[in-house]
Amino acid sequence: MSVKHEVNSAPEAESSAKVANNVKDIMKQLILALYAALILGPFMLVVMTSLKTTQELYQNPLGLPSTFHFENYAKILMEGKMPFYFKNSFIVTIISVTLIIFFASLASYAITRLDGWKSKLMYGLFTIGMMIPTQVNMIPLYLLVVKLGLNNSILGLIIIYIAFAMPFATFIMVGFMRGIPKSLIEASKIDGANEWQIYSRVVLPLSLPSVATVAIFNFVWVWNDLLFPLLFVRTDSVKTLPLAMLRFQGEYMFDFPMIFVGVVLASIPMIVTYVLLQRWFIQGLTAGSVKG
Amino acid sequence: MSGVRLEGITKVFGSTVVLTKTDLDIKDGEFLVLVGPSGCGKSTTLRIVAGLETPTEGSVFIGNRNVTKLEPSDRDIAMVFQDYALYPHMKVFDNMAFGLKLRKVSKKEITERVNEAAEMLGLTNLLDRYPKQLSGGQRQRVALGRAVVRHPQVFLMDEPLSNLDAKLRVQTRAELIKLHQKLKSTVIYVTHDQTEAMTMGTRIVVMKDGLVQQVDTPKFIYDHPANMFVAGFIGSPPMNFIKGSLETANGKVLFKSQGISLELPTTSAEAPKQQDVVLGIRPENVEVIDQNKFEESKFLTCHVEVSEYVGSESIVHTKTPDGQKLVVKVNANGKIAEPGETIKLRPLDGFLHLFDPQSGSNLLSMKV
Ligand SMILES: Nc1ncnc2c1ncn2[C@@H]1O[C@H](COP(=O)(O)OP(=O)(O)O)[C@@H](O)[C@H]1O
Ligand SMILES: [Mg+2]
Repeated sequence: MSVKHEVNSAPEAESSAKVANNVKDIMKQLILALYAALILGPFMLVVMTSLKTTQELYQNPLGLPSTFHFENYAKILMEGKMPFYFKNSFIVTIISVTLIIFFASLASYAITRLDGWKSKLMYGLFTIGMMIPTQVNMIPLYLLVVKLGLNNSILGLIIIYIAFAMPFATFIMVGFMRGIPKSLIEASKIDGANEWQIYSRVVLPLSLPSVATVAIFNFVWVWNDLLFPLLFVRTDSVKTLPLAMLRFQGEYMFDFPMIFVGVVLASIPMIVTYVLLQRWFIQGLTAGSVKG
Repeated sequence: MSGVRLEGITKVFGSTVVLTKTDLDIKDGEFLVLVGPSGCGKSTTLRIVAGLETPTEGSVFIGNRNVTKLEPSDRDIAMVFQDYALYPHMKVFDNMAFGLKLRKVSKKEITERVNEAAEMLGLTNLLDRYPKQLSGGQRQRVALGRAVVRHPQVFLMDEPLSNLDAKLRVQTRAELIKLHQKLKSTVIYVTHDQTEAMTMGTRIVVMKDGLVQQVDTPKFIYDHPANMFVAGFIGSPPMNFIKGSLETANGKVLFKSQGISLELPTTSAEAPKQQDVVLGIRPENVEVIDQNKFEESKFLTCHVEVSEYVGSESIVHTKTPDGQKLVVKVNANGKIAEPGETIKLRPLDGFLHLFDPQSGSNLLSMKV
């Protein structure tokens, strides 16, 4: 009797565990769906608005546009200086982010490879930067930039972005590189790699998840940043998108659909970057490097 | 191929002295095993040979070259790490080829060498996989392969089998021995496992607390351990140590303790002059006997405490009349000893040893 009971109870326990699992799954999906709606809702509203006429927006602010006015996009891309600002933003963002990754990864490599006080001092100096709010630096920074003749120039913006990004980028990458087993570096030394080769062919490829993190984080920041262009840029030819959008608001006074077109266009590169890089986020590259 | 020589190597980390004036002379083609308990400085010794650590004092020679100041890459060595240290972002082929690529070996030769090593190690079908797609044993072989393709003068291996399960470890042990016979290169192999040391080494270096205790062949170390530490470390179950004193009577040398009087296979001329000694008996070097056949001074009488039956033999834990522990390994074909029983144990085959109770050094090893 007791044997029979045991035989029966196993599938029962299993099925009740299954139900519990399903409930958990559904809850998880529900929360994720809610979160997605929270993010996507406003964004869809922006996209819809950008495809309406001003009149339609006032009549039916939340609904779908009766016809999709893609000419809004054509108008901005053809008539305005939008493509030009786009180009400026691209140059500033791409170069800044690339160099941030390059310098931060080199610095992190040095910090993780050196030992003793040299490493600690370097790491300390970098991370102290994270504790100082940008606003505190604004006036000295302004004076410095002007003295160096770097104000109102793309190069100036790039240098400032790199400098301000280094602490956090280094912090993230040092954290990641410290997790790379020491024996991998020793193995490459024995295999005949010099420091540059250890960095470029072993440590950097293994740090791709942290590179992706730093890239996404800084891409979004630099692309969206209004503060530094506002401080340092005066001429049109140096303006980046956020600063241009500010003026745009004046130009298309209350022409909200046009402003929203600008917003949508300005968001696309960030979305693309995120989608392209997120797989590195997720991929745990170090899995399987050591042990069984 | 060439030998390796360490001369007066001392290594200090901060305030800890890890190695003290270590000399080692490793012959060309030798499979030398460094063995000792964890933390005794085996890895440090190996890493000094590799060039991953700089000795505080002393010199390292590979062949006739003084390599003390050379980078690891210039020493013509290859190393197998305990955690394998495979490059996770490279396929098996590239893991093995990396060192050759860095040395600007031609593409054709790289392919040849990698394929040759892969064949030797049974990795041919795995060359396209990433390390994370391999089992522990396969990863271990890739790590070996990465060393083999380099055709180094010296292989350095730091506990390369310790992450494998017991069965695979025994299997790989045999494969490593075969590999060494085929390649005939010098190997320095680190392990804390005395069985690995005994089975693999052409010579063994037993270390303790940064000091070399004995360097010799497995057989010689087993038969003539230099001191109580080596005697207790090599062999399983470990050697028994019984405290007592020496007495000479009518030319016979007797080992005495309360309730014990055992005749030793030596002469009063050969026997140590000191009185207090420690007698060393290996568990496998005794037999259980019938009292009647032998004189009283030919055996020890012991009380059985626990008896472990392990198939081919029994491990019997006993106490001597004066309460000292004595573990013996006896053939299980005979009667299995029961707890509480009294048994007679007679030294048989192999060696008995006398040690100095203070210094632990070997005073005399006597063939039974
Ligand atoms: N980089 C280091 N810094 C400080 N102490 C170390 C370092 N490497 C090893 N040691 C110490 O040296 C001793 C010997 O270590 P090791 O050679 O790894 O021993 P084994 O390989 O025999 O277990 C240990 O006590 C260890 O703590
Ligand atoms: Mg070790």
